[in-house]
Amino acid sequence: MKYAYFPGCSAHSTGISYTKSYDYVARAAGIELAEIPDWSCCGASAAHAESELLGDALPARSLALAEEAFGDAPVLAPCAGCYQHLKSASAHAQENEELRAQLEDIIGRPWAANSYVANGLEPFLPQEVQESISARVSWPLNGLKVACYYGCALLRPAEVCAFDDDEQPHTMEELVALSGAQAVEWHFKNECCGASHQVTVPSLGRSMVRRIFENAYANGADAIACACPLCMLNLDMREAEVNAARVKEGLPALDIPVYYFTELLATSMGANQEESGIGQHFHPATNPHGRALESWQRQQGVQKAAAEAERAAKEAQRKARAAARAAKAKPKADAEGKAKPKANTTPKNATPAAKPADNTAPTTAKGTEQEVIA
Amino acid sequence: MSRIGVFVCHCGTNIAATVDVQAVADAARLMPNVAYATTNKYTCSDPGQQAIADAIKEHELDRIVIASCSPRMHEQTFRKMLAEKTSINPYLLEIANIREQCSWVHKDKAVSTPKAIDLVAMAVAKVDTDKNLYTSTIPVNRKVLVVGAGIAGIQAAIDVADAGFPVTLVERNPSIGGKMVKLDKTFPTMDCSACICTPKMSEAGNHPNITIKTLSEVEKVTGYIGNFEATIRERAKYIDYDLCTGCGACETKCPSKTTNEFDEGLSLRKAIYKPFAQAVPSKPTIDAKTCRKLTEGKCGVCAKICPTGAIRYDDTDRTTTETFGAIILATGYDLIDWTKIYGEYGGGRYPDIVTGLQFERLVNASGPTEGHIQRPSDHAEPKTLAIIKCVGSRDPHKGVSYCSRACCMYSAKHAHQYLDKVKDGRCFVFYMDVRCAGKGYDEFYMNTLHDGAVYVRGRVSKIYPENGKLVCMGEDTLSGQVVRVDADMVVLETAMVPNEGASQIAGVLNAQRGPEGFFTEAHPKLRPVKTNTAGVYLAGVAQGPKDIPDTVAQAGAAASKVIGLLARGQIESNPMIVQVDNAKCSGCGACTDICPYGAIELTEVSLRENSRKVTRTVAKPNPGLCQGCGACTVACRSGAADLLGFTNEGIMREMEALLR
Amino acid sequence: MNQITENTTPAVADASPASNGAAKEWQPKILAFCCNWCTYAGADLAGLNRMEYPADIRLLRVPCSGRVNPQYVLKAYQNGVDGVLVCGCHPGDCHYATGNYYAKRRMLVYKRLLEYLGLEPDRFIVRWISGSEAGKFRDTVIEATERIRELGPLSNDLPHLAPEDIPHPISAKFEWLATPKNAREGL
Repeated sequence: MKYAYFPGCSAHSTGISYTKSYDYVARAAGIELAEIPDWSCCGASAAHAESELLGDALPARSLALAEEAFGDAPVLAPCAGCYQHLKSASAHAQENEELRAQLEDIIGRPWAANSYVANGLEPFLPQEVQESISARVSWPLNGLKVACYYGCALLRPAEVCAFDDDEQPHTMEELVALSGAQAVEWHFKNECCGASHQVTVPSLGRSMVRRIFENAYANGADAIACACPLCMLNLDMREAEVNAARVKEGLPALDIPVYYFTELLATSMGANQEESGIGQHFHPATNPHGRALESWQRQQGVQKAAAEAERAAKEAQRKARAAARAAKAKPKADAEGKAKPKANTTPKNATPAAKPADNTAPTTAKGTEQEVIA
Repeated sequence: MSRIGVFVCHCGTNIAATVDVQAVADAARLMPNVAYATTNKYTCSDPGQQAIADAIKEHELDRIVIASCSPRMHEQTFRKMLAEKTSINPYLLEIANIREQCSWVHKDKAVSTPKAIDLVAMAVAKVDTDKNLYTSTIPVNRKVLVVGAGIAGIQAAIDVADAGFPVTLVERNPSIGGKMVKLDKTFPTMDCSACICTPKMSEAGNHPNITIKTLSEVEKVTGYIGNFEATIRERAKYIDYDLCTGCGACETKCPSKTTNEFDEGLSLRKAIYKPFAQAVPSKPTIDAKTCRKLTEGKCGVCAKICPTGAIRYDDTDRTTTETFGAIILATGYDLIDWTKIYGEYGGGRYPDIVTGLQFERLVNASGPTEGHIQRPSDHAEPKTLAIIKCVGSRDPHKGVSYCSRACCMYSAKHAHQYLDKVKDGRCFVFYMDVRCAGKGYDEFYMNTLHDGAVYVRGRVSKIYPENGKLVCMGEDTLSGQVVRVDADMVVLETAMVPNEGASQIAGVLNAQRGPEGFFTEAHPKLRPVKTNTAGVYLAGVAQGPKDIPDTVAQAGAAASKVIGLLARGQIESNPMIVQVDNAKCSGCGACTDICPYGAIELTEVSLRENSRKVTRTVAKPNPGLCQGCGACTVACRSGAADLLGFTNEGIMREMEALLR
Repeated sequence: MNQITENTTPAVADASPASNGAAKEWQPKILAFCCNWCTYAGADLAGLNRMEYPADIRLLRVPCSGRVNPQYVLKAYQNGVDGVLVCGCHPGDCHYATGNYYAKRRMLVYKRLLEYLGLEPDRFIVRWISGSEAGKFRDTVIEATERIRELGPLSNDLPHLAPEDIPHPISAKFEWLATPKNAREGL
């Protein structure tokens, strides 16, 4: 599959490791990235706030150039901000013929606005691409628990982006799972990381970063995966500040590296630090396999302890029941002298009572508790 | 040659002051086929009417034109006069509206008199084409079908049955009672819902005039007002209700379990079950999807235990066909499936987010927690409760655009019940608006505020679990601040949507529904319980969201309309309906598609054409269903369909008369 | 129009345009098809409220705007009507549920056909007027009359028609009635 590739301004600066790892994984998956000649700024963050028309015209230029060079080939913008602006401009032009003509006039070249605009995740979503990635995974990150973070720009506006559920997205989870890592359910997948506030209202921006890290931590994540250079920069760079603040409050510092999802895939495919770019993070992130192993061991330990505790609880329960039975049987036996038949019937009754507890594992917690009520 | 009489009314000075009525009469006398023309001071008065009758006799008139006020005013009066005092058919009458549309709107005699002459000429031309029309009487079958046995259907059935007419009450579920019997208390009086609903249920169950068919659906309805033929499918119950005593032994021994619909999925029930203690009929039924005997062929415990041998594993569906005079639709509602549209509330991932109906079961003494408010996940008593209103309501982007009407009150009730039962609890209600129109309603809401419920005006944008709590992130739009409530349990007051069965019955009956799926009443103000299909009436939420008092009132209204229809025993049909000329009809069916009442069907007829007998398909209007709109006459390509009373010829002649 | 003499007999005066011989002023002839349940009731209400409007309009009552066959409109033009109105209930309010939707679709298509035939589209007006909108009814009549007056007689659109081919209102036939009563008696 060939994509007209729109690198965006961060591709060779703050997002260099995204570009490196993206190239690596795309090549492995058989995805061809043909850079749009003479592409220009997508206008993210500033242009549309100044003028809606400018906000549409800037992406329109690059999209028209892509059309000129590659026809109807889909346009790929791995950066979420670029994606949002390219996609929106394209949608606006498709909806409004007058606007499209006006934009053509502004950019001074024809533009049909037919090309599909894809984000960084989309090229890897087809079944066959996922299979080819799976086949290349040689050093899986088994055990690593990853919180997939979409941020705000990838999913919104929902009616324009519409490649995933805007409130409960799941596509990045699918891709991260290819690397062998385990995606955790958490609750700040689509919250704003506050990058735009970091300069203007730093206190607000910091708190937004902090709650993302803390929710990921609370849900057991070892790492965060993202698909946006700005989210990445903001989270990775501010983790130290979050930790400083936590330590001040007497809380333990967090050790949650932030990865691009492509870094995890590339690493699991055997890419070295140079190829995947994981050596260029603020928060140390060079050893995902080590983290995975550690996490796996921790999980094993927890499971073992849980199993042990369960066994002990059951044993205690059994003992308590036996004691109760003995205490019950005794006075009756003394009184009526019919201890034998009574003792035979009680265990029979006890078996079904114990059953729901055995079923706990397969059914949901909700189900069993209701059964107990019922 | 017809002999037309023209009677021009002075209407005191109402007409005569601005129209030269004498000139109009003089002009009329010279119009084709006009045999007699005169004026009268007050045509509608008794002497005026008598004068017309006398003139008809004296001048041997065979049709008349009255130039007076609007036909909407006195057409019926004059028709009645013709029927009672003369030998002329009451439909050989046209009225020229020279008051409302002439003398009252033009001040200048010089323009209003010619206009009046034109109007009379049009009426004269039309009356010349009029034919005798006869109303026929259609006998009305004195049995009523009520579809849906919630409180609306039960109330309507009891009211009709009390008037002495037999009722068949059809319900899809195993018991009647609907949603009301699930509720704990009813606002604003805090009556125990079951205590006022179950007596009604047993009254319906024991009423000699009511036949209850549970697990049943209306499959097909043909016919028209007074003579509906309904096919009802009664699904297999696997139990012989004549033998079953309802002892419940089978239920205790049944090994298969599934989620309990009556408890809104908060508990489990057996495969052979009676949905709740006071169910009517008070007999169990087997859920074929869960029963081991019916799915795997093994088990049969209930048959072994049943003391009367009432279990029938080989039971099958039964269909019966009956004739009814009227149908009442009381299909009720479902709650919108919020899990599909509210991803930001977890989309159903978090067990401690419940719907209003689930909360009713949690707070209900006969519910799964015996009335102790416990959250589903760990049975802890929630110390902080968040109630979110308008979940799906008034939200066209996610749910429905309308207001569900009852939620403001029952959310106040939920807050009140919670604060009553959990003394140290805190309750936050997120709202858009508080709409408490109703007797005693606002007082109830104020009391809830005094109870300590905190009302926050704003929506909740996200709910996520944290440290065993559900964090509700919202906005207080009054203070403009972001609000965070760490709740133990969240109640979503979700939108009412039409019951899933409504579309099925709507298709069967060809009944109209609005864009939101509720049945459309014939007139929103003046005919609120009738539908556009004559003989089909509406009760309860089937027509639109409403609370219990309104539902019961509407059920009573529907019942009274039905009783009125049945008491007459017959109905007079409107003779101004469509007529199809078989010789012209090609049987294309264009009219059948366009008819909003489904009143035209294609049939085969034998005709004599060119002295040969041929069989052809032609359109056949049903006089019981046709309402006389005439849409089909325009769709008819061959001009075979014509509307009696407003015939093509009549309208054409009217136009010709206007200008020639 | 201007010759009403107040002292003459309850004068029909010079009602008909022809009464002055050749110097007759052209008056538009407008036919309005009105549904019985909404627009006709709205027109009645306009009367009840004594709202004044030009007298060039004649209402033809039909049960529903869906009853109006496009043929009627054509027939009206053939008969020399200068303008046609089709009025019914507002969308969604039709007494027969859907009749006005059919009318709307038919009339929209029909309007384009009339345009194609060379008739000014403004000669054909479709409006939804409810039974309570007496004011809207009056405004519509005033607007329609003004529009048609601007367009002039139908023969403006159909230049090949000889003026004598265009029929006159029936009241013109009775123009002799406009002569004073005593003069009439001899007839």
